[in-house]
Amino acid sequence: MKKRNNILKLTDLIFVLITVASFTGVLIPAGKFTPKLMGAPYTAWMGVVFCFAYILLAYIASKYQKEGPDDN
Amino acid sequence: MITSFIIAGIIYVTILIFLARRTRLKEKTTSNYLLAGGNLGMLLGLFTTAATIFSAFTVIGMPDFFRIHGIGSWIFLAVADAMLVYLLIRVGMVIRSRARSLDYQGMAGLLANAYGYKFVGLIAFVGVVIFLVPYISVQIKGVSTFLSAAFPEALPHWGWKTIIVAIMIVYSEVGGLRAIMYNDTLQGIVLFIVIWVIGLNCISEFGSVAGMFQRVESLNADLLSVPGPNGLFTVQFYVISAISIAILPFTQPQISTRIIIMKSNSALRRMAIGLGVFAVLVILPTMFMGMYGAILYSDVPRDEFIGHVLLYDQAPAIAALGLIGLIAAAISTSDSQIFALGTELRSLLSSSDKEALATTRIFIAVFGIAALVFSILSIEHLVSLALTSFSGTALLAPLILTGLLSKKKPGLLIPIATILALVIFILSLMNFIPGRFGTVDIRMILFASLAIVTGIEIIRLKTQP
Repeated sequence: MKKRNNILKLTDLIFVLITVASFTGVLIPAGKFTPKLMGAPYTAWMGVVFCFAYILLAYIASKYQKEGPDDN
Repeated sequence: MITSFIIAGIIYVTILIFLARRTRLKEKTTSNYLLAGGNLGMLLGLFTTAATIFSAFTVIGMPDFFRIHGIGSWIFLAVADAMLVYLLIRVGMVIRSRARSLDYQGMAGLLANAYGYKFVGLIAFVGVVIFLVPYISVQIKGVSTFLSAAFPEALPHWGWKTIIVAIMIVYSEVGGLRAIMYNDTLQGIVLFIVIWVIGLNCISEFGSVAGMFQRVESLNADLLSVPGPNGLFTVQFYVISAISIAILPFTQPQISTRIIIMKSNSALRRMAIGLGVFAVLVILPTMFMGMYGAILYSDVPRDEFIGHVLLYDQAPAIAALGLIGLIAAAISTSDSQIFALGTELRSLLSSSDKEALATTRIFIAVFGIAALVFSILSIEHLVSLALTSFSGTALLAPLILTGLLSKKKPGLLIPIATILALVIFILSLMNFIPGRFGTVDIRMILFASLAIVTGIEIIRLKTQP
């Protein structure tokens, strides 16, 4: 139970960090579109990376989040 | 194309009639008609939720948004949707369990019970009516734009809109929520295939993704970074849109109902992850379509661009399928929203189930007509209209989340603050008060104020004996 809560706290913390980074030059550098990846501008491919980071984080959280009688 | 469209149209209407007949209920009750029996599996849950979120707004609005404002559109929608998935897991599961234990019939009714005052439920109901009607009109406007582009001489915009709303009302009146969800699944699959075929066609025009972006760079490099050629994508814009979109599952009843009626938390979990992947895969081709438009149709009006990218530049069979997919998308999404408004109303009615359902069904038609009128009168861009709707319902989030998550009965501080926030936001939309104070958008001020009020209320509840 304690381990589960700690993991969820960690995923929440990472969620907050990624979210903060989403609104900074890490994801949206003003006026910059390099480095490119397979020809795609920086914000486009990094945006895809961020999306999958969120989904992966959600997947990890879903493994540890238990709520309700149908959770075992 | 007209022959392909008629064939595809007949097939689609036949499937609709089949689904409506199959799901037709001999005796309608709140549980089976409005809540589909409360037993939604993962796959149906995924498609119906995805179809409710991604619709005409995504297929027509987003390519145009990419074309005009550039690559930053990805952050606006796709990244915000990915945030939504995380919150769906962390908060959605708690809300689902809580709502089911309280005999959920609609969010408004649940809040009236949670706060102990019926008027709190009314605030939620009025809030979603005011801000969902514009969102429903987004779908109607989107598909009428598309139909007018396909058949310019056939009917005026309002004619197409009236036909769509009529189909929508009849279908939801007959079949109920389960019929709507089957239609969602059908349209989700059709749209997903069509949007990818068109997206790949757009890339093939330039040889490769790299070739496409190279052309965009040579024509207008501002499209490849933020804030975009028109300076839209500021940090403030992103924060507002991320808040508004990421909490949609809790603020828009057509989505929260689907979460709550999932048959188990494990089904909800798998649905949420699938939704995240679906979001990325659906928005990606709209980027390709937008870049295609930025290269070939940068200066034409929206209707003309949409006509080209979705119809005239495609093979007739794909264009016809696209047309049907889009009509299906608009109908199923609007159906879901109108139906959700009906469910919210039902949850506030205390008469017998039969009487309450009869009233609800009348109001489902009234909401449909209201959306039709709004879609005829409104001239705003589809994406802006959708974002206004998302922001408006986001103002309800503290009211909903505190009501459902608090173990103690919350006081009236948050409901009163929510009424004030809604009134201020509506007055700003009507230009009675400014929408910005200096560089700060009024929505930022309202979100921050509600967050502070919620913090105060949480501390008060925690310190209460």
